[in-house]
Amino acid sequence: MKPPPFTYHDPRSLADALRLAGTLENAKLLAGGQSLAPMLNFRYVLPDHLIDLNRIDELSGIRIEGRRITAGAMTRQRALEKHEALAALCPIVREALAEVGHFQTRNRGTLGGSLAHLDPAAELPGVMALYDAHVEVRNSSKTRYIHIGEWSRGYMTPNLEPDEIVTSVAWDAWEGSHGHAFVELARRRGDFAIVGVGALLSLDERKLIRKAAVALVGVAYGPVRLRAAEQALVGKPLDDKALDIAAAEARKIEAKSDLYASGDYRRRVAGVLVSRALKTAHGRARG
Amino acid sequence: MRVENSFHVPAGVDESWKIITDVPSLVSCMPGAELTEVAPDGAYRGIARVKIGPVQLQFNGEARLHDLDAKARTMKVRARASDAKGRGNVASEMAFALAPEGERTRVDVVTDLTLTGAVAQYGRGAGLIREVANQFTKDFAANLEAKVRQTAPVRREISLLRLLFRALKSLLRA
Amino acid sequence: MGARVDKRSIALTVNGQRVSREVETRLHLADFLRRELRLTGTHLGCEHGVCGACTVLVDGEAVRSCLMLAVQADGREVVTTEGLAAPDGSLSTLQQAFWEKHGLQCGFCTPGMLTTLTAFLREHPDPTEAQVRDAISGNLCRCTGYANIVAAALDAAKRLREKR
Repeated sequence: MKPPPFTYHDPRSLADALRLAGTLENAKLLAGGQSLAPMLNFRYVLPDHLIDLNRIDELSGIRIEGRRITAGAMTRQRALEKHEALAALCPIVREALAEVGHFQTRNRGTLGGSLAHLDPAAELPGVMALYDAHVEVRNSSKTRYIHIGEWSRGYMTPNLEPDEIVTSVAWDAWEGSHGHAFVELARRRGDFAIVGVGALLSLDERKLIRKAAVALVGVAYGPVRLRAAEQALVGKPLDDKALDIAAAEARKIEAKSDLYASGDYRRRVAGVLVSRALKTAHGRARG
Repeated sequence: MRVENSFHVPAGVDESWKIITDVPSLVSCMPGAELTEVAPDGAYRGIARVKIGPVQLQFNGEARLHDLDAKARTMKVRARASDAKGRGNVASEMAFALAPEGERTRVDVVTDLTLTGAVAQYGRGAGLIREVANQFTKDFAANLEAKVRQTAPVRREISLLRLLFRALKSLLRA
Repeated sequence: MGARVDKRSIALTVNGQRVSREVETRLHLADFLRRELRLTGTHLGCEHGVCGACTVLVDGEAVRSCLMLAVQADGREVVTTEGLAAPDGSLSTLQQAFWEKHGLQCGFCTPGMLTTLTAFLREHPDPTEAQVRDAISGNLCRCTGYANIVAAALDAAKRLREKR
């Protein structure tokens, strides 16, 4: 239960980190360490080099310009959780983060790390999916902007080359008043989500749904937007019929089976949680 | 666990049988695999590199063909491999069955896979192994198809001959 | 392999004392505290971040010391369970409450509970029971059933508020 030997690097600038990532063979990037360190302790991953990103100040920080939010990849989950201006614009971030591990892990865990690790049950990728966020990744020669829908390439495999580092994530907060909800089913508080659902809902003057976004985590290798349900809701009131339609769409998804739950069970739970999330978001949108 | 895969070889069943039983050629089509030695007793030794998310496994092992039935066009491959870094072992029994399908041959593979050690618990049993096996088979089939097509001129020749022969036969019957 | 062992010199403050050592870069903070500094109060229950027994305070924040490398604590201030009592040995309010409310049995989870709750109560001086339970959701206890731990935390919170 001890890490294997590696050569440790702690660059102080992004440029240095990019150079290291571009030249070292069999290197792993160390962000918050809350996911990588267990793998090192178990010796699942055996890097020859560890590039610690924690001393690079330029990778942290939350910038808000109008509705555009840009968060550095090394921004701690706790910083995102505590940020008042962010909470005012995107209250779902705080609600989702309450489900992410425990406050001790959130003290070290980062936004970029969660995205790069891409556990199927991770909540943050789901929140980013709700906002159609873009992930900025860089290597020594170029910068790429990847829409969150293109981020997952498979099991814990993001759209990231070995020489690339996630540098920041950007998204636009919804304008005007709207409702939000993040609900999750896990065996114990802080456990991996069996299914997690995030929902954003805005209403027009007649209290009909103007815009809806629903994202699921825990069901596939990456977050899943329920576009069919979202489209079905637009222009309608959120009555029982609309909720049933949304829940039915959720139950149609392809869901993975694993040690904790079967695909069938996940589909059923998805239906229930989507309904609950929409109801809560709706209540908040009206309130 | 049991994994079933199917793929097509763009060649007739006899040629496909020759290809499938040519292990060195086959291994060259397998993504991440490398043949290192053919032992005098017929065992094929090699390395298979598999990446599951951030975990990179390197399985060192050996495989043996057995129960070859050229008439039925079935065969079995028994393999045993260990991760070079001690994270687990895999034992597999693959049963191949070839069947003609028009101009092509369908190859059905049923794999009985047993994983032990750390790798067996990785991924919270997320059906990962099945996914990895499916992806492996997809890539393998694509490589095999590409390889066969490269020898297509030979095949075309064979077809021409076959056509000529058929034509001759029908002439003789008439 | 015969590779040269990767080492670094680190200097940090632990329980108010300045320490400096040369360590293997792969040594995690929990092992550094336990083996290098002989501060064995920090416990290793799982070594993968779920049990909470290894929780310490780094720059005032509760973190899993098994998931941090010692080299990452260079230049930082670390407080372990051994550093919670006053210099004269008198127990902190929280520790006193744990004693009086019988908030421990075997004591294995206790260091992690104490550091976690110390950090939590600093931020939440008047918590509800639900909030306390949520705060310790990342600390596993096999003995107590948590009831007395929660009672001790609430009692300590009350006493700390009265002291102010």
